[in-house]
Amino acid sequence: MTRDRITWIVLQTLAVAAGVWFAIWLYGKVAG
Amino acid sequence: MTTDTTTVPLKRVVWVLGSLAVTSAGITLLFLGMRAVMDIGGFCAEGGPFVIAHPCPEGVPLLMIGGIWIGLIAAFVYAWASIGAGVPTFTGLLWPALFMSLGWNFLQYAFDPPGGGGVVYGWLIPGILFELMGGIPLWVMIKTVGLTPQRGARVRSVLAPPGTKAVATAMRAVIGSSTSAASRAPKPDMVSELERLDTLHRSGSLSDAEYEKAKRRLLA
Repeated sequence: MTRDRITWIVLQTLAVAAGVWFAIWLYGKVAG
Repeated sequence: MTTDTTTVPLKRVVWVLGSLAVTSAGITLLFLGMRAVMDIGGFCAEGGPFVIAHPCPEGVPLLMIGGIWIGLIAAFVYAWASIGAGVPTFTGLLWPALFMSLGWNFLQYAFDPPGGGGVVYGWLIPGILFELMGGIPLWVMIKTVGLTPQRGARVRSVLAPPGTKAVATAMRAVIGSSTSAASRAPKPDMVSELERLDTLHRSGSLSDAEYEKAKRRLLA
């Protein structure tokens, strides 16, 4: 696995985590 | 073409990461909203001339509907941005993520319903169906293109003609043995050999180290 491939997978995993975190925050704000 | 973070324009990187984050947020909102509705029995209603027996939890309908639509649009944008850029894509994971996470809600509430009591079969069956709908495509994907296929590399190696692997094996044998007959044989056209090596490298049949070694040997 090349370094670029690993970099992309790590970056996209962080993007998923950011999205999940934002959704939990938004849900808590609106419906919590 | 080998794609890396330096050759993908910054704007495209932002599209890929941004749309993936929004897609994940959409799936998460749907997941959380579904749990809130299941907490009050699995359905709710708002408005209308009658007295509502199951009013919806505050804000939940908006978040769920918004999550579905924004998540769906973002998923298409993400597929376009990531596959188009030739970077490793999570696109194939979105369907299993959606169905298996919602299936988890069904299964958990089926075995441990909010009001107590035994197993709720009305939730157990959709739970199993959702897990199968997400799990079977996930299994097939892992077996064929892998979790994060990449246009031009992983996918092409799957679709490559069988001969490619034989050539790669022969190439490894040449690299592995410094006194092999192949190394003493007259050198074929160097440019076409270099192109062939590059193709094998990009298809994933040769690792970076093997490719460099073979190229050095060819140029020596």
